[in-house]
Amino acid sequence: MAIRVNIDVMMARRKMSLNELAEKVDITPANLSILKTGKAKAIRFSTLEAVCRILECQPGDILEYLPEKEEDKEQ
Amino acid sequence: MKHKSGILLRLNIYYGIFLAILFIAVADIFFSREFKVGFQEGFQVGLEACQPNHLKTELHLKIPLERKAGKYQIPVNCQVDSNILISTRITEIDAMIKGAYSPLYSTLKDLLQTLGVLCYLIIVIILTLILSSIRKSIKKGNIFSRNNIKLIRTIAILIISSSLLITLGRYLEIQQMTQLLAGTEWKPVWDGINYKEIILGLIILIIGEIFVFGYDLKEEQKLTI
Repeated sequence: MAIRVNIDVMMARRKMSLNELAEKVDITPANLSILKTGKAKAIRFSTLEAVCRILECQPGDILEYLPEKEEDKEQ
Repeated sequence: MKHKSGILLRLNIYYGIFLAILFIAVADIFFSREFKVGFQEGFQVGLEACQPNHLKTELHLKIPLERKAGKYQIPVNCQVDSNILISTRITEIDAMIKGAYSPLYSTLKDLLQTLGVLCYLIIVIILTLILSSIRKSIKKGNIFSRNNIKLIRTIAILIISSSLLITLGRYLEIQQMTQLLAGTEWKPVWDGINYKEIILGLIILIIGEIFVFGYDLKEEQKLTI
């Protein structure tokens, strides 16, 4: 996937665990884990809004676009 | 699911109609005069086969005959109105053959037609299963599943296979009858492929692909956070 989710970086900055963030955002830890590990196919704006509100950040802080060549290099 | 109760109600009605028609069709077959006559004749042939030194007997039913344009050779007196003239022709015969023995045609024909009939039986069982599975899936909210896709594809393949198997068996039967009746006034003619069933099978395969698309959408929806 060309979009990388850097939610763990923001979680570390705010010193928040996965379960805590999941509870505050009102999604299951399993779904948050799917998001964190890059397996999600899509994210709802409502979920993105809740995550940004809880982590006090911008969408660009947690979402990063990787062009295909760079993605292959990383892998 | 928004329209779940409506979908379930309609599905239950269709399922009920399907079971009712199935029951009526089976009852119609087993209680019909045709079945009784056929059963008696088959039983008689079976009994004769058990006799020592019996002649091999075969029954060939509903053999279509070649039609000749305008040749309605058999007049029938109309009892209702003497001013009406009725002329008829024979387009189909039942034949009982004693002593005929062509193992290749007979065995292959019987095998193909038996397999074709078995396919039809399996189709009925799977249709019942799939409708039941779809009802349960809707209650659980999981209609687009791998299992349902497999069942739909199986039905389509069985419909097409049974149609082709029975057609092939029928072709061999007609070939055999053509040889036996060569030089007589009866000229058997093959009744052709049942295109309706093949088209139905293809339509069901297309519906299966729609289910695959639905399954992919569902999986994608699962991974939407």
